[in-house]
Amino acid sequence: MIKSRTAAVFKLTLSCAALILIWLLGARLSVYIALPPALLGLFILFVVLAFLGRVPKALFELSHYLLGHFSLFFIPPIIAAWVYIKTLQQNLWLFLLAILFSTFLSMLITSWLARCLLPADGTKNDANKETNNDN
Amino acid sequence: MIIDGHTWEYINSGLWIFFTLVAYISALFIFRFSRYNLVFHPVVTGSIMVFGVCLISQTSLSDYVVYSSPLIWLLGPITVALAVPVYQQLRYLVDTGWRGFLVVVCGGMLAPVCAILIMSFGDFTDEVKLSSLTKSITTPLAIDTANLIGGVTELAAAIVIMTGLLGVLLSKLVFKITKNQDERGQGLTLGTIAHAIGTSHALRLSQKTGAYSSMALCVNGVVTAIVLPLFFYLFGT
Repeated sequence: MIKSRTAAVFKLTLSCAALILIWLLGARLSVYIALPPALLGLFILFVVLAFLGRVPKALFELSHYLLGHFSLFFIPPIIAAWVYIKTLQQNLWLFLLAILFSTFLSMLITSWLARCLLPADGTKNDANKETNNDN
Repeated sequence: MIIDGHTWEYINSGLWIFFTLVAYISALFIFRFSRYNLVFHPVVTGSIMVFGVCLISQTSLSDYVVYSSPLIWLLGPITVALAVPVYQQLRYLVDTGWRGFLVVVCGGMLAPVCAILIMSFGDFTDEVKLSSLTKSITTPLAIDTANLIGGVTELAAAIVIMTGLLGVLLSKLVFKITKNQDERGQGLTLGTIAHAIGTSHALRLSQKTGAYSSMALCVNGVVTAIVLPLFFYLFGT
């Protein structure tokens, strides 16, 4: 019991260390390749996973947990943006309108494209069954 | 123990990260309590709480940003973790083939182009325009990409989050107008435009919608994060 728990903690630590190391490697590579360091890290991990042919359980659980609680890490940038947005002043409304309108327009076209391009679904089922649950 | 200037900085940093954590956890509870009403999204309520604490303790917001920098640093390794869903969603990309890819890429290109077009009506600085280019990709990638092409990273993050929230709020209307009832189509649209926030919404619609949404999120994020810096590298300003 204790042994398996230690092993789990060890694997989790290993996954954490792997993520950080791969990111550092990506940051190192980004000196030579003009791409975001985190993206390069993502590629490295992807290649490793493709090589392994499966996702290690500890790594899967860790990434699932981290990605599920992404929002926590967005709080500081949002506060920082507040400082910046204040400097927009009279342009603020146009700025918000631009974001609202471009989101709506691009979403409309994407949704329309998806409907036109995607071939009919083989496994037909009630797509709209659950849409009423959220609000 | 000798308390010098640096020690205070560390203590402050730890304290503010702790506050942020507490705010986030309470925001999560509020979100659950409101039955996942988007107005109470953890990012929104969490930021308001932190903002409140800053006001009460008379800490300037720019000080808070300095104190919480370790949290922002952690975004890097977490972005690397995105490789796991990318690897797992590969099956869906193969399933939809070039058509799905085309939908995602077209949608991903449209969003920034629309934003830039509308912004050209006002006099915005180049920094602001550049920051809006990454509006439809997931935040950590957006921050890095915006940094690389000369945008303001904080602004880029805020634009991305606003886009995500708006995308989910508008999704019902959009699907009604375009008569899009296909789970795959809805997933692709949510993931392409509203990235991670759209994906968590899609997961609540159905498992399949969520799978296609996270596929679109990954493809759009990776493609945009490659294309934008390359574009600026080749046609550099």
